[in-house]
Amino acid sequence: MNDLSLVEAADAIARGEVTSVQLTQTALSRARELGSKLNCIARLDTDDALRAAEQADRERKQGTTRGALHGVPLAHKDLFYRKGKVVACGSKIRRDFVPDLTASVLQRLDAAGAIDIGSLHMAEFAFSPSGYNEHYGHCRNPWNTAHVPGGSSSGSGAAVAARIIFASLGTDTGGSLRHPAAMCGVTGLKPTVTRVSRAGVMPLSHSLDCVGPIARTARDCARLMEVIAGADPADASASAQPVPRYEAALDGKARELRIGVPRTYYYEAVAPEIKARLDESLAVFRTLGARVTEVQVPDIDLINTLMHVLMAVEAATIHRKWLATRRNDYADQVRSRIEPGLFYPGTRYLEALSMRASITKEFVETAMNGVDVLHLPAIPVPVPTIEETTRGAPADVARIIGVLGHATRGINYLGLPSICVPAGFDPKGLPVGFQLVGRPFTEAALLRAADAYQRVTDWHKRKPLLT
Amino acid sequence: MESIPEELQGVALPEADAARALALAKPTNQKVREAADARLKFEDEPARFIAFLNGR
Repeated sequence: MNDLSLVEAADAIARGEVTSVQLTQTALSRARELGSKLNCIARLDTDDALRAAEQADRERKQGTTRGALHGVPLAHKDLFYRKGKVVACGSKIRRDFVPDLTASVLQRLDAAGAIDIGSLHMAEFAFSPSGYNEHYGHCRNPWNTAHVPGGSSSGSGAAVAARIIFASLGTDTGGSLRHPAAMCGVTGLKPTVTRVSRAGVMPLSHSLDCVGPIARTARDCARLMEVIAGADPADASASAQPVPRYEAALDGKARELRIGVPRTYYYEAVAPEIKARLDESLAVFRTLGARVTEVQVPDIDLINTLMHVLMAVEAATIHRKWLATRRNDYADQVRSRIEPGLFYPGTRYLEALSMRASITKEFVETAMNGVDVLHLPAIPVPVPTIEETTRGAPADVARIIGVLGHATRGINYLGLPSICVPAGFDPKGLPVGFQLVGRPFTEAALLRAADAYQRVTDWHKRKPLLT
Repeated sequence: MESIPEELQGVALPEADAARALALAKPTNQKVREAADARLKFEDEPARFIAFLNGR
């Protein structure tokens, strides 16, 4: 049962072939069985989840369906507020924090019938591309538990890959949703900034944060996006752009697709074993009739620098009081990423914000000139071990961690949507993924392309051998 | 520059941590300032980004 995709599970419940209680019990059982091995669970709400599943089954028998996720068990990164539940955000500081409201996206999932079985482990306050967490231990990669799962939505990537749950919401400020998707071999969509409400989500950086789905397939992501995207009275920044019928647009076709491949910057840090998988994925798109051309990209180092200033200043603003009063309750690796934000003058911060429109326009007009999507590596190097990202010379650790966001963090400054898709494995058996990046609000095109790819490949169906 | 955090931010950093943050912030500040000098026009302001995303 746990091998079903989210869409297959929802449809099986709707047809009466399986009950929500069966699926929820299976999810809870796997969470208990694998949760400690992978350290991917933050909180399990067993009784609440089973009560909700029983109610979902009663409603179905009475002919009532709440929505497209009726009865499907999910769990989400532990920074989405759930009224009355502890939401620790992977931190020591918020270890006992109980919000008095529920995140808008969780309310939307509830309304669509999803069953929330608990919350998933994450990097402290969402600061780590590896998933590093000094307070609660490191989450582990289901494909090899000596390796990192990617972060900061580490538990989301691990739990979806391990078939504990069918999908999960994560957040992405510099790659935090795409890193675990790529490193755990699942599919993740970082939407256009503002596409999905952030009300009731612990922020890292107001200008960069995005909420998006991590699931096994592009179709699963499409179904989730239809539920969570759109304007929200509780979040003034949420876009009022109409929400397309993402799932209905999946037709398996990529014949008209024009793919741009930047040969500068993005591929400069790519290891040969990763490049081989990326090239194979492009070959698949060619067989589908897509046209692949090389493109030029503007100064990505500058874009990364501007992204860093926004993230550091906004994070330092959010954390300043705690930095003053609870300094030792942060891991050093986390504090060191926030503290530079105290050293940027307001003029530099505002310059970084003010250049965002012209730089994004330039990027779209040059890098995406004549193409529909960009094809980029997700992670340019093989998935590192936990050891490599936590021990050794500080400079070596910093270099390894830094390269993980090489192809992701600039996309957040640009605000563009990006989908991360499994593309095979490296020689050690760890997943490799690619990104497709689109113009603003072209999530439908990204999902369509990823779905077409997944119809002729089976990387997203592979599952780790967990005992 | 070195005195800004403690006096204005209210966060007393240990010397080593302040040095670590400054080592990153100094070249970053310079890079942003140079880019702004080269690119920014008076009419550029943050709201233009959202307008661009929305096709306006």
